[in-house]
Amino acid sequence: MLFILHNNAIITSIITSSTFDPWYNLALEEFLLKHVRENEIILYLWQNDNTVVVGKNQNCWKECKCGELEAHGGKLARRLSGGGAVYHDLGNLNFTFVMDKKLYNLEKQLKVIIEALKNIGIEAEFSGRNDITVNGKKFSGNAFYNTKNTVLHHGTLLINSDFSKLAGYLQVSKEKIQSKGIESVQSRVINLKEINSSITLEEVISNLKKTFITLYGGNGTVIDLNQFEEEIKSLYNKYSSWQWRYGESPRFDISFEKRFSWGEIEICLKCKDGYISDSKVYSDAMDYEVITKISEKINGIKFQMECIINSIRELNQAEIKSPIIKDVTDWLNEKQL
Amino acid sequence: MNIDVKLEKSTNKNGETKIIKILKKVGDSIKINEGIFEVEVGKGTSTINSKAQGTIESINVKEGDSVNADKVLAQINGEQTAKAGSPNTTPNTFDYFKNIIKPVKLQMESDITIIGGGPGGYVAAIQAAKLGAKVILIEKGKLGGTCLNWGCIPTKTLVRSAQVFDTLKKAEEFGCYAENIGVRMEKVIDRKDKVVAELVAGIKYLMDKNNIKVINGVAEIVNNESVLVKSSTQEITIKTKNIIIATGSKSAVIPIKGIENKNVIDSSDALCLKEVPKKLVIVGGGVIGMEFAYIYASFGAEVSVVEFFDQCLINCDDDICEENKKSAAKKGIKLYTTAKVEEICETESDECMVRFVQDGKDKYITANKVLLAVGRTPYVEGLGLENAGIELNDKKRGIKVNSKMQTNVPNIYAIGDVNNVILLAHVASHQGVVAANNIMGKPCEMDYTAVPAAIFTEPEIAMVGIGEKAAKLQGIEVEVGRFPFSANGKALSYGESDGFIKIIRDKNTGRLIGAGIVGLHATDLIAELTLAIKNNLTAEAISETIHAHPTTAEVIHEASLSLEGGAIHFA
Repeated sequence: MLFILHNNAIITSIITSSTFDPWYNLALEEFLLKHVRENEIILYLWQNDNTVVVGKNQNCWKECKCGELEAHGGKLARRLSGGGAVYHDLGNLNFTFVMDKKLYNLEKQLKVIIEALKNIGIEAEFSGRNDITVNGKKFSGNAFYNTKNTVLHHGTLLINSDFSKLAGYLQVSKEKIQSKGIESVQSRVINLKEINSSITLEEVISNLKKTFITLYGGNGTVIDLNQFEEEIKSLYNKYSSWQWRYGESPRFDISFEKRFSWGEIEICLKCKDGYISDSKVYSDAMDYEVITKISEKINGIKFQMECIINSIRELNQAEIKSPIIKDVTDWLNEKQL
Repeated sequence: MNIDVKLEKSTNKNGETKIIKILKKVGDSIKINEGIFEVEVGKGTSTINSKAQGTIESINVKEGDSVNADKVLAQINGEQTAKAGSPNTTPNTFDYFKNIIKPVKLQMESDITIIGGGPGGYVAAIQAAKLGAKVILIEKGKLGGTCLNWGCIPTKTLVRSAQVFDTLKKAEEFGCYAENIGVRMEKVIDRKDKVVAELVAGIKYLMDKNNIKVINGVAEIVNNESVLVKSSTQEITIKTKNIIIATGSKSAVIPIKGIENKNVIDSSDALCLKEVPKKLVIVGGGVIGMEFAYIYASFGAEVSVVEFFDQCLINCDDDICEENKKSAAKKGIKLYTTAKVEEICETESDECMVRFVQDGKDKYITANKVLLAVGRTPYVEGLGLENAGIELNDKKRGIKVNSKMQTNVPNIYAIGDVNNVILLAHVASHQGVVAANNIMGKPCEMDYTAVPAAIFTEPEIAMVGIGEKAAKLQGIEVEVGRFPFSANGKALSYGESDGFIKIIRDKNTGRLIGAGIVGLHATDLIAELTLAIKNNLTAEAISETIHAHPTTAEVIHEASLSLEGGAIHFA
């Protein structure tokens, strides 16, 4: 009896983002999480173009070729939930369930996805690693974020994504990085288009909405966001910030080494919150003073190649004239982290 | 006190929990609900928040470590407040990171640990605290126990609603008119809940004021110096010098076929009925059964009481039982005595059929609800009596105690219903005071010569000391002074002139030994006679005391006059 009463009282809301900007879409997602009401579940559908989204606790330098991505106009984003890095383009649709914790029921949420796809002739199933698969291949990865009273469950739906880019950007860095964070796990993926060639994005969206209302009831009220622009904007500032996207990487150690005519150099950095918390530079070069200065110069600065290079260059302008500085900065400049 | 911070066993099968960020350092102060760790498991992220406040004593993991539920992640030197221990109000189906923190283990120390926060336990706690003891009180439900939450107090609020309705029904007799009168059970129950809530809050206040630590949880005696308390969030081991068991009693159940029928209710259910049953059968004509019989009869139910013995209210004297029989008949309550309920069946019309045997014949009554009121039984399950070697009484019903309320284990006491001596709230409270005094070095003993009892039938019944029945059994020769309420001015003006008072005197010693009252305000009037009996006053002492006119207390005056040679206002 209690359960029935409860169920009847569920408020359902649906929202579809109109932008492909990952930072805005993630800001909107967090906004919904902050504002979801008691007994409410929100279905939020969104797409990002040319984006890599890393898990909350991932080292972005390690999990993705950030430099290359950004050089090609792509965006790096970090989400609230856990798990590994994913590539998004317009061939991928993201769904988010934001709800009152009391309503959390993973099976029921997944049923929305699985039933909706069934209507389009796709027999999907849930796999043990929080993936939804078809013929044993993954087309949807799911992740979660919990607050005291609310939960966010979201996932991807690969409909017609460009797998060559996916494979290109989601490569583990060649640098020596020892991270305390979460490492991505590669999966065999599949586009739904391969199963049903006539499938369209619109069809998936409309079926998701329909199944959501069938399973949860309510009327799927559309949320009007106009009045909340200020708040969403401040969240946008967070999601687009370097500090969140890069700086949020869990503590890690990274080292670079290179042999030059004057000797070998190895730069070892300990990083925390995106800043170099400790640096050691080893070299067999005769000019040991320069090496020590480099180490001192980069200690405590932001772990961003541009900052590191600029710091080291400052040495040149000051007291020291050494070929080592130019060699090192040129070398670092070529590196795309 | 050091509090362990742990993960709760993860229901997620996708692997171990990884510590991502440590948000605090050793020595940092921490508040309740403040984050200590950021963790990730199975693609879900969350923060582990502190359930205690204090300072971080140690952090036993590093960022990047994978941990399981057994690992003590950190220790907090501090205390958990009651707030942190309060149970979740809504059960939730969320199984992902549900309460990621396992119950934390705590250690506490006290002079006296009291198990049970009813009228025995909480009074003992206050008395002991006033005498300077460090007291911990453990309650698994609500403070106030059965008396306040499921017994005395809630029934009295229902009795009052019934009286108001009765008054409305006979308003015309008083020259008043009321139309469309009725009872709305929801409101009656609502009012009851409010009264109860106010009194429970009052006890909480008293606990705070007396610096008594109240723990919400279930207690188990580990040995004679230690008690383990478990709640959903804590596991507390209390090292204690003394223990007072005050766990009370629960509704007794007798083996009747069909007892599991959904329309069979107990007294707690009878306090929450959403509507008045058309037909109510009450199994058991004791105090609880009779009180409900009058309440629901007033509300309009057709009430039948089936009693195993030859009298309802078997502990009362015959004249009182007779009076009750008359008033029950007036109220339309049917009493079946010397009747044994054999079976309760469900009928096709969703009613119950109660089959009982009377005079060797099978008899049947149909009912919408069957209230089981066959007494109460001491509550000792799961208490761990055997761990400390605590003995039960000879009938194996209740914990054996001496007159100091001490069990066979010298530093463990048992008070109230759990010792099954006299199942009355005020006896429990008094026993609590006796136990607390003895523990705190003020030797005293329990004296049961003047224990008043109050029954809220209509009219009310009250008794104290030795009745005529008991005197006869004990071979005491008695003299009885009587007076009817029909000769009392106030009772007459109230339109409540049924009943009588009797005062019983030992013929040989001249001492007052007992009294019984059936009539208006009987339960309040008994106090004077209790005082008299307890303090060896004579009938003369009462008759020489001026009683205010016009009050019902005049009946006491008149009854003692009748012992002394004749009432003034009765011939």
